[in-house]
Amino acid sequence: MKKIYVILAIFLICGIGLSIGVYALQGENIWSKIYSKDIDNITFDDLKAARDELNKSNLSREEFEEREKKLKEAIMEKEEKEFPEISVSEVKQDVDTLIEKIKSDISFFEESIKYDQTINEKVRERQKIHVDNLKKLLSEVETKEKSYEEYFSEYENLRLKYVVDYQKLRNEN
Amino acid sequence: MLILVFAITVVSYADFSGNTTDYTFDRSKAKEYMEKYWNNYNIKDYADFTAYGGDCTNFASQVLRAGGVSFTSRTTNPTYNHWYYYGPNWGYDRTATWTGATEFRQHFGDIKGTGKKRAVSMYTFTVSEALENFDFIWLRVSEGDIISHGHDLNSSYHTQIVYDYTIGARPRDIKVAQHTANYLDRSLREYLEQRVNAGQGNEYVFLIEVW
Repeated sequence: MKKIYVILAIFLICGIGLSIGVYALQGENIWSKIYSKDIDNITFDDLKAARDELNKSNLSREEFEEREKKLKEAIMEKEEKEFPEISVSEVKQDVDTLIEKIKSDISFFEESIKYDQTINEKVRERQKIHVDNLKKLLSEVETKEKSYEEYFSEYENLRLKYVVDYQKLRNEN
Repeated sequence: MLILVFAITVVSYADFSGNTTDYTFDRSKAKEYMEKYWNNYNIKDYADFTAYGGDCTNFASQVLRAGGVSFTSRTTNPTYNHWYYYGPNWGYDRTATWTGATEFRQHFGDIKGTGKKRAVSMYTFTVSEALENFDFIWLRVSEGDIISHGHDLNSSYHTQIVYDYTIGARPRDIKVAQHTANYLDRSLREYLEQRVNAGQGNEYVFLIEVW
């Protein structure tokens, strides 16, 4: 009986050792592919795993930088091979997208009004007016009574007026 | 064959790596901290500065601290040379560099050449240049690096911290974490586009490489 336990223990230890070895080899294998730019045999998941492993490593800054540079080069090369055209997703030109854009602008300016301590009060006041205008426009756009083009034109008019005023006011005390 | 040569336009690049950094940095710990506290403030250890001008730089400081950046010495009258937090009150307990976006940049980078320059380097771009050179920035950033935003070169109004960068997507993007308006993975590309949209294309963005 004792012998069986000993044999089982040996198998267990060997198994764990083998797993660790295989895991380590797989890790090294990814890096050797990255270094040799064998990008056809690396997946994006491999590259993500390599990045996570790199972040957890205890490499010196110089070693980290070197590995990260190689990693990013491999990512770029693979991305440019897999997605040769930069897929700038075409901005949809519809009312729903415009609604999201206006909401996003409102959040952006509200963040600035509340927390940006480096803008002067004139800019802050102008931003408040712009947010009020955007909110009014939003309620109109949400009715969807007019076409996208008409609403977008109103949005652009508001935006350009704001930008002109902002450029003028930002250097005033 | 990909040629990694970028003809980039940059307002300035300051390399501080000649200075020996007095800390090491564990990026995975910094990431873990961002994940844990981006929307659940760590009020057990740090005060919340949202009502006192915003909490963005306080959060960035906490992340750097979690990653292993050491405190400097304490003093009753801290300057940009000091960076620590022992409590909410400015002075012996807390530095302005801990919570103020401008002061933080002056500690880890510089303001027009004057600063502690404790980070490894700092790039200065106009917002439009940053968008034009976005792949260059993507190539340079690592998790835990700092993105600071300014209307001019003398100050910063906002601090974000790099949480992630895209792999397997084009156009490439960098995801930043921040407090005040809380985000874990805000798109830096979209934020910069929003700044351009708001007439801030000629203003500034600073990339501070922490380690």
